Amino acid sequence: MTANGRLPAWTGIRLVARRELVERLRQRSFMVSTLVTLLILVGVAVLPAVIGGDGTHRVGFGPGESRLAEAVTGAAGQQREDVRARSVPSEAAARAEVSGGDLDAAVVNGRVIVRSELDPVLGALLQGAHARTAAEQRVESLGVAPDKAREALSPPPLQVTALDPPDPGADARKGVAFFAVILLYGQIIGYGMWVAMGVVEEKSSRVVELLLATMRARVLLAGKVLGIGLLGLIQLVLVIAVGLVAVRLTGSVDLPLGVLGGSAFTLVGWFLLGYLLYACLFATGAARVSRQEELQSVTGPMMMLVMVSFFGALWAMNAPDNMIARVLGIIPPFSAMIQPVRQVAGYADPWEAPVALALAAAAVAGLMVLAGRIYEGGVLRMGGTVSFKEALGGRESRSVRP
Amino acid sequence: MLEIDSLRKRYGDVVALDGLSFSVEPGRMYGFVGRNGAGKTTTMRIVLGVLAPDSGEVRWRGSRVDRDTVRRFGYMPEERGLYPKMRVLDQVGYLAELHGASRRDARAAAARWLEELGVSARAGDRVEELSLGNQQRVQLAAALVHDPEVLVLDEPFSGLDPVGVDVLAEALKGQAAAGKPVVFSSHQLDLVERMCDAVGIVRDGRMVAAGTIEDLRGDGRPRRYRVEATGGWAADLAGVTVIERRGDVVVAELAHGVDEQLLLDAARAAGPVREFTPVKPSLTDLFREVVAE
Repeated sequence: MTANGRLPAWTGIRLVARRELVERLRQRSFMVSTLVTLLILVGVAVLPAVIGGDGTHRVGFGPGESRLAEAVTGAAGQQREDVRARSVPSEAAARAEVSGGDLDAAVVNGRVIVRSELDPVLGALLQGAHARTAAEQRVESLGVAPDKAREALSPPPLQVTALDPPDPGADARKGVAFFAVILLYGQIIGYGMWVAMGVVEEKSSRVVELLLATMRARVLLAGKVLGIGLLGLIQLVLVIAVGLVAVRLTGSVDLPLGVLGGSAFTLVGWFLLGYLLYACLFATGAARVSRQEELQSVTGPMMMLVMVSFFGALWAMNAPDNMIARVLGIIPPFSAMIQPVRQVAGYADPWEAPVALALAAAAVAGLMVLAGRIYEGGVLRMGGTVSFKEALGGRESRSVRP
Repeated sequence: MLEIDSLRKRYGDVVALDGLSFSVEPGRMYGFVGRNGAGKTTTMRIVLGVLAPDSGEVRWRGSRVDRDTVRRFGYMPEERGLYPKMRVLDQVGYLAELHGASRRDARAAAARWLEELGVSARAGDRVEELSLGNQQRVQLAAALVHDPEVLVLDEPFSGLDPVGVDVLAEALKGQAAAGKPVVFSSHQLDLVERMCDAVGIVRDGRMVAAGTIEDLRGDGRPRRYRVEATGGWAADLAGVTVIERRGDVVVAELAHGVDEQLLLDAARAAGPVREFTPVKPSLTDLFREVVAE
């Protein structure tokens, strides 16, 4: 075998990226973290459907309350409330079922039995239905035919005209945005740290010297960031796909598929930008130290940025029109987590996404160049922490470029 | 011929290399010695293109070494240079690919070298699970897997047991015999003396002595002889200085132009001579002299 000719930059990037991808796919920690994420996600999607605590009212009706039961379910249907009525044989049985949690409320002998307090929506339904059935019975006792009595006592309800109607899916979108933030945070921290640890691993084992004898430092950096990013993308897409399937099967998120798909798309796009931003930052930090133990001190500032972005994004979920949220949503690196929240939750004005994307892309491009230089300057210096100034001043690349 | 020509390199205020030059013929083994911090590693990194010199250049077969030529060099960095968690065969194959081999050729070459160096049984293990000696063999396989034209090794023998030293020494001799220039640095001077055709001694970034060991010994230095005879005779001989006297054994230094036969005659005149040997300084002696100056 003879090795000759130049190794084109792309071949170098491809070989490095493939190694990163293959070696890490084989690590048990990757499989475990993927499985745990999937389990949590499926759990969150499935749990509400299993527990059934999502607005369903289970009400028991004692002997002689069948007319009230009928009126309650009828009124509930009109108001789009989910009331499941069934009969209970006695007050004792009703008490037992309510205290055991099988029923939310029971109506027996003219009383409503609840465990601690009556849900206000259910209360209004019960009281309204009770008032009407009681009135109907009194009017009937005056000799009016039942259907006449009902007609007289059922005026058409007041119609509501909303000037600025709320988005019916607002809560669901917020829920999706919350998961988007958690996922983004996990992926960016996790894969950014992997880049940092990979850089230090090569430096502390000195394998970087062998690699740099065959390729430029920035080729090595690009391949590493690409390979690990690809792995993060694969994991994210897998998690999103499983999440979408779980949500569709259980119906726990009441949003059209188009909206969910759009959210997934936003999430993936911002993961890529956010990962590239932070991976460059992490790599430049890591190139300055020679041992894993020193990694924490140089990645601290980047960790702070991720944390600030994360908590900013959580706060922004409840601040749709806040000026600071809007501004942070377009300024990198905060935009990487705050903008997707505003997109998914449906807060962002149409101009925000393109502006945020353009700024983030520009920041990524600039950071890649800067990271390449700091990496080249720092990656061969062993011993203590290399300052940014030293790393930028003393680039160790070949002075003559073939 | 591999030529290292007037390399200069500073790290801030520290001068690492100060016009260092030497050259290695194809098929020759070159020993590169010097104290820690003398500039050996910096030189080797520059030869491999891992570092750029401030000035000076490296030439191979008459033309300046660039990123393409350097990929035909084999390199073993100081300490270890492998991914601890990567499997042996994958790792050596990966490095071969980085040197331009196709995936299949790379794996075949990796397997062949692991076989040759006696570590093929560990091909599927992670590097960190191997003993130091075996790690060093894998490291050598990584340096040789792309059939390099030039070999540069930084402290290849450090930390090896005597058997490991022999295996590595044989492998390097084989490479030199195949017509490649082989450069290595070492603190084991007896080993360098035994193995190398030529030696360069570095101090403070400069080559202070270079050539074959015979050259270094001959280099205008007064001859010394060890003579075992009955005593008291040499002191009054013109042009002879007694360096050391222990019992009947005398080490005498001859001034320039003094015939050693005169010394022998004088010794024989005094009584029976049991030993008369020229004293050759070892590389260690030469090294101490040159480095201590």
